[in-house]
Amino acid sequence: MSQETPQAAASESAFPPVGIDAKFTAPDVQPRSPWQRWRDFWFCPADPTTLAFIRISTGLLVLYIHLAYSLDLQAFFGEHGWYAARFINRERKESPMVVTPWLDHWEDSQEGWAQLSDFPHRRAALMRFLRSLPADAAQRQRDLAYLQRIFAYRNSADVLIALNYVQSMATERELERYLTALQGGQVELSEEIVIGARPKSFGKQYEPPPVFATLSADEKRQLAQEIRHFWHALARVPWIDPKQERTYVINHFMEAGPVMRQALLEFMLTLPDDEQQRNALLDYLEYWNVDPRKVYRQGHAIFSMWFHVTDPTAMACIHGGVLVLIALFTVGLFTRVTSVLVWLATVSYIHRTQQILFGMDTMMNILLFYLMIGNCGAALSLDRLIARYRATRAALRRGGLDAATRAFLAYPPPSVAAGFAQRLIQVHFCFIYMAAGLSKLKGGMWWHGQAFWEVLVNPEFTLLHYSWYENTVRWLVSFKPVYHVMLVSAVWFTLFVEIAGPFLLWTRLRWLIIFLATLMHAIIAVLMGLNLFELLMIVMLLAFLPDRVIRDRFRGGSDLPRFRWCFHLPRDAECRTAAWIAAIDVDNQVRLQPVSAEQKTPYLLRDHGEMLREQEAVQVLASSLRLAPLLVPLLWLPGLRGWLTRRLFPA
Amino acid sequence: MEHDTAAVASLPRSAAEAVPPWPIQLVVRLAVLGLFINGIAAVLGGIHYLVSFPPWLDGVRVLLVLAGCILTGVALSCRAELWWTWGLAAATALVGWVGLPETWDSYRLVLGVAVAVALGGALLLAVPKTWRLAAISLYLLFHFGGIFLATTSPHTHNYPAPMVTIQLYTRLYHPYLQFIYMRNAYHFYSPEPGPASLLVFLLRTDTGQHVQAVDPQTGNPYERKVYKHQWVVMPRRPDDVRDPLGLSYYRRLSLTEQLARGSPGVIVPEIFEKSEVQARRMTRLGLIPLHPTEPIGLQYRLPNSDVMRYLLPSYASHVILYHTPDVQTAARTTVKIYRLEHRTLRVETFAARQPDGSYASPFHPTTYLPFFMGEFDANGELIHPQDELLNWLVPVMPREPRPNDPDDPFRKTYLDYMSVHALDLTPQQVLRADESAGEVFNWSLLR
Repeated sequence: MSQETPQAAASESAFPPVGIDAKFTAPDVQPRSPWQRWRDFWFCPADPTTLAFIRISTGLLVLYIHLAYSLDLQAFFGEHGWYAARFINRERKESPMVVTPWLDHWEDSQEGWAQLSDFPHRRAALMRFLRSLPADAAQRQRDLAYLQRIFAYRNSADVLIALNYVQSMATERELERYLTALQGGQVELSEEIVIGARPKSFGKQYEPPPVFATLSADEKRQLAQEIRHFWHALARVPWIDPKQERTYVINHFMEAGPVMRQALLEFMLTLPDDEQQRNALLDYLEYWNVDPRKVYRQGHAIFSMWFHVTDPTAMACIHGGVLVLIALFTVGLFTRVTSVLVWLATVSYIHRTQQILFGMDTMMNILLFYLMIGNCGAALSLDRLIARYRATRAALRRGGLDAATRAFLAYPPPSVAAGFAQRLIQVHFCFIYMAAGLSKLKGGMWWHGQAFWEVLVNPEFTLLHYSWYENTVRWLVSFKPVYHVMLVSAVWFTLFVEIAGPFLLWTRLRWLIIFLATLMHAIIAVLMGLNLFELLMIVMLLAFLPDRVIRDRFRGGSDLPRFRWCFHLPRDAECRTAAWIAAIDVDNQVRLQPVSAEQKTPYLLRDHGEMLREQEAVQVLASSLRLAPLLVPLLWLPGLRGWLTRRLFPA
Repeated sequence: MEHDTAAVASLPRSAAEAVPPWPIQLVVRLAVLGLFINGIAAVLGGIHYLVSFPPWLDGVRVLLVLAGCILTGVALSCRAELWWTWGLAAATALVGWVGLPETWDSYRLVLGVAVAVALGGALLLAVPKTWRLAAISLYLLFHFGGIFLATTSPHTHNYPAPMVTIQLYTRLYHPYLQFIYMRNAYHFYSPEPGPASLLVFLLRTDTGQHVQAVDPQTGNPYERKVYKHQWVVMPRRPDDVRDPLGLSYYRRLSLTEQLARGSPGVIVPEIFEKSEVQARRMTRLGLIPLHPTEPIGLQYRLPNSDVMRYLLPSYASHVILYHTPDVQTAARTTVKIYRLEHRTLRVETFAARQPDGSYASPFHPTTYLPFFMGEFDANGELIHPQDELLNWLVPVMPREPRPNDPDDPFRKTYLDYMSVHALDLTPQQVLRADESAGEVFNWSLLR
């Protein structure tokens, strides 16, 4: 046996058993617990460049959307806009939310809500009746005792008959005749009886309903009293058209159904004695058609500056400020703060007038919300430039660029926050697609293909108002096979992308789905004119791109000119200047090179050794650095070139 | 930038540590300054209870709170990894809540949420990392649970949403999802893409004059008021395409779609009104017939209750105020609102040549189904709740033009009963009228 070294023995023991060549075996897969998988999925670091690019794209679109608002600020958000301030303010404070009990038993009686008719003239009649009910609870109880009695009948037909019974009592004289007949008395008829009616029918009209006939004499007397009180309650109401409006009230009780009748009765019986409180309840019922005491929640959890600011000048100023904010967010200045302010501002517009919104606003909000969570200003931003400056400055103070600083300057470091925000966008996107796709399966048009035709020739959305488009579509569909194939291809394609996409995006087919989804959104944008909506969807798709795709697109090539910036390290002012150059040198074209104190001013050194100073250096830098094209127009501002020269060459 | 800390003594261990953290003193100063500014607003608010202030001081308080919150927000963003910066942010938001005027209740809500978020952030940073990740994971489940429930919340045919969705959504999720505006169900063009709607408004301003007229139905003479009319269409190309991508146009299209929410027919249990609605409609059959091909049950569309109670009155009020020069004129003006459902042509109609060799136009007036939604005054009050044609389809019927008929000078291929109804004219008067002169509704406005 040969003498093995301990290292060789150790390495051999790491190999699998004899017969298997370890060199060609895949490394052992470390099993991960569900918690680890979850953590790795949601909290893995990612290159913030992708999120930053999403920020820029979103910011530009949001800026456009809000610039477009400038043309309609008063019409959409003003005091007398399409949805006037008085309506939205009432809605956000009072809008009712009702919910049925959750923990009751099947045998428990259903809980209903007092409701009025949706027809204004009927509702008005009902409200007149409700408002005329006595303030005193005992009196009200007495006036509504008849309803209490009949609403308790199990047989709805008896309820209807009993209501019709009162309906028939058109006048007080009729009332007394009916009640006389009810209590078994003889009805005295007058000459007002319809001429021509057969004598046998005289008095039959006053016969009480069968459900009352079985009552004892005392009960009938009590019933008569109840009817009398109810009838007088109806008569006391200041009707505009008594006959018609009385009928509306009775009709409503008839149509309401047992549960709603009981709820309405309970509402009437439990009205507060206090006039102010009673009026508040009645006003609420009239406007919202629900008893506020039965409401689970009132109002909306929404906010908007347009609820509180209606002066046109102030609105214009605030709107201008919002546009500036969005611009700052887009260029990535103080992104942690501007992202939150932009989200708050844009949601303010959304909450004010929801009637003007469509899917585009939903997507815009989703993106802004998740961008607020992730550090979307860590790359492709002014914040990144500031961070580059600060990192370089700190490193120069320590004596030079260390490895960590150089790595930071080369690429924005991977960030858990960026990865988390990207995951949020990805997962939410899958929810959107899945819901959109599956919900389409409810409609026969999507199975048949007709849905695409409806989209293709919708006059308000498509380009159909252009004759070239109309003629092109007409020519296409004139070939029946083309028409049928086009229809089914379009709908099957849509359903495939929306239903299968959320699954395939997590597989190797991700690129295919990204391509197909982008194609789908582009087609919708062209056909339906919903450009901004589809652009926002495509921006969401960017979250699925691999880390380096965006970053590498922005990286400069190896043919970029290279320089050295020579400065004296101990001189603070020159260090600051060097840090600024490093900050804007996003492609690391300039190498910082400390030199001796003999050089009185810093200078720029080209690769071939040419030394440049002052204005010449400024000009070369401005024309060579990749960010420079953004700065070059600024150099034409009077005095800026000189100021820059003095900053770069302080001596 | 010049407030950088003194050179970091130790080398950064990774790229993430290359940027030196902002100095604690700066962060504290900013946060305390923000808290102080909010405190000033709060003190002003307290004094306001004792002494009445001019209204503009409310604006000052709002600006102070805004500035204070932004400063503290900046401080928080500088050192978000420290739990006490979150605590300071919570305190600032709380003081800001007091500092805001009561009338700014919606932003008090925002600050209340900010307090909760900041306290949550402070707590998360104070606990070990694993607990932190676990708490965030719980939030993720909560958040996406809500997103999922929102997608299951719409009704499907005759079935409401599942009870689980209704209960959880109403009791737990609604305020959260509403606040962050993530209540959408994402049921785009589902179950089916429907026709688009336009709105046509006829503004009628009472000039105070009267003329003798004959009731077209009874033939009786009566004194009719003289109105000045103005037709307004929404949305309208190209007037409403105010930006390059047409966003202003699509916004207006959304406004019109809100009024399309409704149910065909009269919903039970309003059966009494149903019979009255039909009876009232029948009284006008002689003048305005029913649509010849639409099922009668679909010719009556009762809008949703929120449309009837708030949207229509608001739209009416806005249109009148926007299109009248002053308040006095607005007071004398009413508006009739028609919702035009624009049907798409079936492919057979679209692609096939007509007998005269032409193709059917997708913008022909007969492709529109106008529904009368009521006449309103400037306050948004519905003037005639029992109008015979309220919520009914007022048809635009196809007709054969009569070339040599003096009563058909424009040889119209349609009979516009919407103008008959809107302007109280007879069909013959509408046939003879010049649309381009504004005598009746000009259908070319819709293209």
